[in-house]
Amino acid sequence: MKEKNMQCIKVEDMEAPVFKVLLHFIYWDDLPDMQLKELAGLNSKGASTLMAQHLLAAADRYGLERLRLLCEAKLCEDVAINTAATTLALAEQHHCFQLKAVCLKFIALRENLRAVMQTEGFEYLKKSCPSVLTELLEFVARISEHSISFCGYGNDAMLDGSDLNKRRVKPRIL
Amino acid sequence: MSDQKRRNFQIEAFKHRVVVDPQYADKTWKILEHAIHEIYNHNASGLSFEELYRNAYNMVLHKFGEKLYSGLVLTMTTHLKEISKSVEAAHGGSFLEELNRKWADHNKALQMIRDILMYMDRTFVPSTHKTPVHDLGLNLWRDNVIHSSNIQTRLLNTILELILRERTGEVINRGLMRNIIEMLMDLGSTVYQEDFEKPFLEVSADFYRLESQQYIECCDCGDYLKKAERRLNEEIERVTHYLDAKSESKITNVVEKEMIANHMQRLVHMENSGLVNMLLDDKYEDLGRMYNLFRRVPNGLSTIRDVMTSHVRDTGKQLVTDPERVKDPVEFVQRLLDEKDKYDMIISLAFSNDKTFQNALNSSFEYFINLNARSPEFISLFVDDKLRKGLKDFSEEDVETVLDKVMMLFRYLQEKDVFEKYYKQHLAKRLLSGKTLSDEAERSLVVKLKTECGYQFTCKLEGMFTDMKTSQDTMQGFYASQGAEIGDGPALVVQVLTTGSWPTQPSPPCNLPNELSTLCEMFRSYYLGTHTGRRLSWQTNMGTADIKATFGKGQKHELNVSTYQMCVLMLFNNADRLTYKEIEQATEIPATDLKRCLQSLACVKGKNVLRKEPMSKDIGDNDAFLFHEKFTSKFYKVKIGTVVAQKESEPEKQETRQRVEEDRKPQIEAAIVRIMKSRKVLDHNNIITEVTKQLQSRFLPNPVEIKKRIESLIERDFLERDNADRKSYRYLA
Repeated sequence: MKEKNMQCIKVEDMEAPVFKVLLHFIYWDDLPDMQLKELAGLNSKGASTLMAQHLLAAADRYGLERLRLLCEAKLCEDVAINTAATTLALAEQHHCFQLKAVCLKFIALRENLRAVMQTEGFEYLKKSCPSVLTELLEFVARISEHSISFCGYGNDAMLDGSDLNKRRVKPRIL
Repeated sequence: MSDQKRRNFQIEAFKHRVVVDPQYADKTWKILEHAIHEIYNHNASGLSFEELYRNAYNMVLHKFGEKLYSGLVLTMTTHLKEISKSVEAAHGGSFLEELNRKWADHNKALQMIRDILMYMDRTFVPSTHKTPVHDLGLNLWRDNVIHSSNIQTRLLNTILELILRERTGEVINRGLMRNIIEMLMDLGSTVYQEDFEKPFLEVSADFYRLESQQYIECCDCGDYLKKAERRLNEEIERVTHYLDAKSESKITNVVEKEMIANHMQRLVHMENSGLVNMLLDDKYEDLGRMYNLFRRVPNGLSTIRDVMTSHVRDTGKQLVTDPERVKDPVEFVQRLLDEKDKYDMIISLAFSNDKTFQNALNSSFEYFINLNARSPEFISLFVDDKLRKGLKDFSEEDVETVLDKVMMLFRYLQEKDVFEKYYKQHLAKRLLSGKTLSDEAERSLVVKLKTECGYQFTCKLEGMFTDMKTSQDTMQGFYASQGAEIGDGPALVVQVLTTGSWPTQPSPPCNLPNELSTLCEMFRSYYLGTHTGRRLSWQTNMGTADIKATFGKGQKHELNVSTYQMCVLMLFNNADRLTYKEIEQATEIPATDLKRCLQSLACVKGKNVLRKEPMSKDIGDNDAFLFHEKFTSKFYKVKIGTVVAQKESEPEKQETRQRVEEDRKPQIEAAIVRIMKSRKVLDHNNIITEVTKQLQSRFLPNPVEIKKRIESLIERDFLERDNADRKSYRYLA
């Protein structure tokens, strides 16, 4: 195809710094936190979380399974009110069930729900993945009934209307 | 990273584009559909991989995976239908080439398509349990091209046609065949087997069935086998060149069945060229080929083995029962050895030393050697001949080889005790006449017999050797102590034989000449002086003497004669003429021996130191003998009448046989007692079995004889009959 004879290939729908991290990972197989921040060019606390979102999408797009899992793990740790909605959308679109469950749990908590619903990300969630809202509703209902937290990632998959893909519990080493 | 290079990058939450365009999926699909068309039309160079990959990714991401997949199926199917038409349209010879070309094209296209759609393959396909792109491509090819009604049969027929041509000697395009067959293999083992292998095997079976029928009518066995081998190798080669390796055993089975298994009997028994002829003519190459081919089919080797066995048994039986052969024992045994060598060679060169064949050969030899009751005697005579003169000038190695071969025949004997008896007799004669070529060879054979049969068998033989050695020492002692008194008289050499070790002989009377009898008495007193409690008796029928004789014209000769002959000749020192009766009286030698002795002195040309009146061969009571003044011989030393081992005459044979039977009785009894002592109670049939087992290394006991021995033991209170069961016996302590 065309690329055979091209000197420069334009990769669409991806930010350059993200791609740079991706490339670094391919060659070095590591992802130090500091470097992420540095490359992000900012020192803000949420920067690495946002970077991880971008990276997860990129990893999934190009089949870098281990990077994907690393990002997923990081996002599970860093779920916060201002990022929960976008992370949830990401998890839904890229079939990250573990992450999705964590996000749903987080958002459904009484103390978080209202705040999250007021973020910009939540609007985006409504437009891009409407079906997730139904699931969120069910989560909220369950919490208010039992007032106990869920455990077990597999259960959530069954509430999800899409499919029954089994998730790996441990990240795969690539 | 420098400041200038650092981008002004405000990181934001990651958000995928939200699709609002209702035509989004169709538009995106159109792009991809177009790409697939271009790929199939060899126009891929104008496409952007990045763009296509991204579009496929986006379709799946936005949940249009199903549309993408079914679009793929449809598009590919359409292209494959076109391809199918173009292949169908190919004429004759170019059919396969066109198919091959299109297949290569399809594979290349498939790879590119798969690369583009990899995101779908990785995420959408597994979660919906659909067939991955590559496999989908193969399946569609199979369904739309290979299994299309106009191609399926034509493809098979074309392939089979080419194979047929190759089998009839044409050169075909093997590379093309390999590609086509590999294509079928890639489509799965079911396709390979159903669309090619099964019909291939059927057609091949028909082909070889026909061919083998033709060949068997016009070829002899050796040629047929050559052809079969060639066909087999051809098929194996065919597989390595363009078929699946797994087909090898299947096609070779077909060839083996049609060409070999179905005609096995006819080949083996073919007149003038079958197995028996090959064996007779030592056709190692043909036999080897037969072995290698037949071992591939069930019962192949056992067929060869059985025919060989019955042939060996028949020839062997003829050999041992042929009255002509039996006349010369040494020749008889040599023939047996030659036969064994022949078959050993065949088994080693052609039958790859197959143990089962060796065993069959051994059992055949065992069978026919024992058909002739005189085999033990003959083998001993053969050994005797070899040890006397046959092994002259043989190297030590060669001697061992001959003795080992003899041992091999010995092992086949059932009546080893008969052999022992004869061997003792012959050995005695060899030792006493000093006629053995090599002491080492004698000893070596005794050691081999000991290894084979145990100490019991050879202890007496060893005793004979010991006696010879001891006698030498005794003679030295005798001359050392008595030498002065003997003075210039005749020189005496005595061998003292221990009675138990040597074959029993009666010691008949014989009057020794005076000069000798005094000497003999001196020896007797010397010997009994040093060995108390013993008794000596002279065996005059086994001795030899060297006499110096002067004849009429003064010619002197040294005569080498037997003791009897010496006694007779010494009489002529005191008389010129003696009648038979006079000689008989004077010497007291038994009549038969005396007659034989006189015959050898008077009736044999070149050795007639006596003259006989009348000149007849027979000795009558009134015949007269005269010293033959005019005796001449070229040699100074004249040998008259050596005590040579000969094949026994009929009465002698009967006598030996009787002695053997007598010797067996105590052995049977000892075996019965041993068995009963340990078992306490045993029934009749089991006793027979056990006794036979115990004694089989020496001889095969006759059940009738065993029964008699049991009766005898009952009489002597060793055993009793069981009260309850008349067929059982009980041991009496």
